[in-house]
Amino acid sequence: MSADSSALELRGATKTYGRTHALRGVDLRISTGEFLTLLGPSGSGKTTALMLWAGFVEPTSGKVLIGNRDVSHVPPHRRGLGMVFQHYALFPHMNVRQNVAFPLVMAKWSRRRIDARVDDLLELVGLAGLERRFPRQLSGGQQQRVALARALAAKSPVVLMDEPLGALDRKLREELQEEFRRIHRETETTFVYVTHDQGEALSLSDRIAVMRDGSLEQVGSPEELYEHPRTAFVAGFFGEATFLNGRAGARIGDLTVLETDTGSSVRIAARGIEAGQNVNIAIRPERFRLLAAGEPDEGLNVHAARVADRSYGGAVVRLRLETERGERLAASLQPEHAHALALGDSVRVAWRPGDERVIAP
Amino acid sequence: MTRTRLLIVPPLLFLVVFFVYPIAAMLARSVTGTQGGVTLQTYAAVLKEPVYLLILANTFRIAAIVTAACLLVGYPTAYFLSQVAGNRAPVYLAFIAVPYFTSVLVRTYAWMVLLGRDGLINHVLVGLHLAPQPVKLLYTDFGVVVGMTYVLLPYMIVALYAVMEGIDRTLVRAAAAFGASPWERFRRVFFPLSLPGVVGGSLLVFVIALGFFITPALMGGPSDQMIAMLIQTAVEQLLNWNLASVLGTLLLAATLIGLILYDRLVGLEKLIGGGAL
Repeated sequence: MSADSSALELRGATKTYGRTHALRGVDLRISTGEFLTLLGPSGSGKTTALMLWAGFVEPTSGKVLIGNRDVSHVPPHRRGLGMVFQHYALFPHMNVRQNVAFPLVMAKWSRRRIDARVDDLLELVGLAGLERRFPRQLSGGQQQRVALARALAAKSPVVLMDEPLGALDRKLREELQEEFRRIHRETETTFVYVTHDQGEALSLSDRIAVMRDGSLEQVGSPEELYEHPRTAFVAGFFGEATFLNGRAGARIGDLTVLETDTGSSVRIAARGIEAGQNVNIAIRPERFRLLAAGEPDEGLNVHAARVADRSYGGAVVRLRLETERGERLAASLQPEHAHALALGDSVRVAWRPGDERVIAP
Repeated sequence: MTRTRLLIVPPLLFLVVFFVYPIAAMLARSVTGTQGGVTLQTYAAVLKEPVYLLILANTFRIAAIVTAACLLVGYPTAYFLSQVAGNRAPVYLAFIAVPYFTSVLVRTYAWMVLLGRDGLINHVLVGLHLAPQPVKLLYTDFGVVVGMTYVLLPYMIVALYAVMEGIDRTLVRAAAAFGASPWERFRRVFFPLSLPGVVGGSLLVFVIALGFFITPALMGGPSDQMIAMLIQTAVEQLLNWNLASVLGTLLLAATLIGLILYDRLVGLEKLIGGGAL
């Protein structure tokens, strides 16, 4: 598996429906064996991108490639992909075995090879013994496993998945996410996964492509996207963030002073910023901490604030803090640091220069 | 609540007087002997008389052919309707339904004009030298089948369309994604899923065809008698009401069996447009 072999690619892919742009010139390469997630809100173009590869949608302009072959105008049944559909799309008139065998029958495998392969697949997804059941006799989770087995059946190099867990409850979703990761490792297949659930994207993917309004907003590993979001949209999509906007001021050593629009003066570690330039920063909630009375605050940015809201979340306590200048900070603390806090309490909240991320507006 | 229930009384009375009573009377008469008393002798007489059996067999044969013809024409039509964009399908359905607001009698006469010895079809056939002389189309069982197929076709189309429209398109897409050509998609996914419509539409058309009167009476020849015409003969010419009652009961039984099968296989609520698949 060479690193530069691309399993799937879009080159300048554009899709318009009348005047609406579903996709605006998207360039994206997915490497062989990768688990890539297309993430975005509804209408962001993620499903359209998936449908371009599946062949149910043809690009208005640009190219769709599978394994370096231009398939822009190849019908879906000649593309040799595996696919998991949003509501499974299991054939209701076929039993589990017939459903899983369908791609193999279409590929004209011999009866004996089909039987052996289907047995292996049902073993892989943990459904051995349910061969004769019909889809309506299965639970949602079991149906999902049949859909996955069917998508993997023909050993397609690529499996496309369109919000496969959307209809399941949370516990089952987490269980199946684990299953997807294991099966991805074991089969070494390229997985392309569409979801609007950022938690799912973070836990499953090698790389995530965040989409917005038909364009790619940012592509990167889950860590990159969480720790180094390039835009407010990405920062806000993965968990919470506090946004501060302002104008760069003087440099003090390695740090730059940021005069915020609300009148605060904070120090940031960002490089390549010229004085007078507009700067937007985002700070993750776990970067904040509360200072005890009399605790020294050297080298920290400190805001005096009041507790405006407090919600208990098990592993963390989330706080909404309002500074006297009207800034709203979102912080998450470990419960032992927050158990004594009540609404309206005055606190000193601090963060370290360098914990901020400069983002595009 | 109890007051609203009173609203059902007039139609209920109507049905009892004009529907329940006549059927009960018919059933009673079918087991009444010539000298009174309960007997099955008229049934025995009917089942022993080769002419009646022949007509009964002919009725089933014509109904079967008409059903097959409706299916042959109706399936592609319903398939087309199910494939056009959602907002246009009702328009096409209206095109199919509108002619059926005219009476069966008028439509049957229209076919007689087309199929007659001096009709449009014979003019074309002779004019193009496809036939040396006018072909006898009317007053044959071919004529009966054409006329009945035309009248019963919308039942078949609507029954098929109701089922086809409920077929999840993603299933056909899924088949495509897994390598099925358009023909395989139809053969292995769409067609099997449309079978309830095929069974339902066929039963419906078959049952209605069994009791058909006007079209076979006007377009059939003397040898194309169907059971409904025999009942008329029994009532009007033979004045044998017991015989008519027996034949009517047999027809009613055949119809009920058909409807029960339909309900088991498809569900009667489909007939009145309720209940999604």
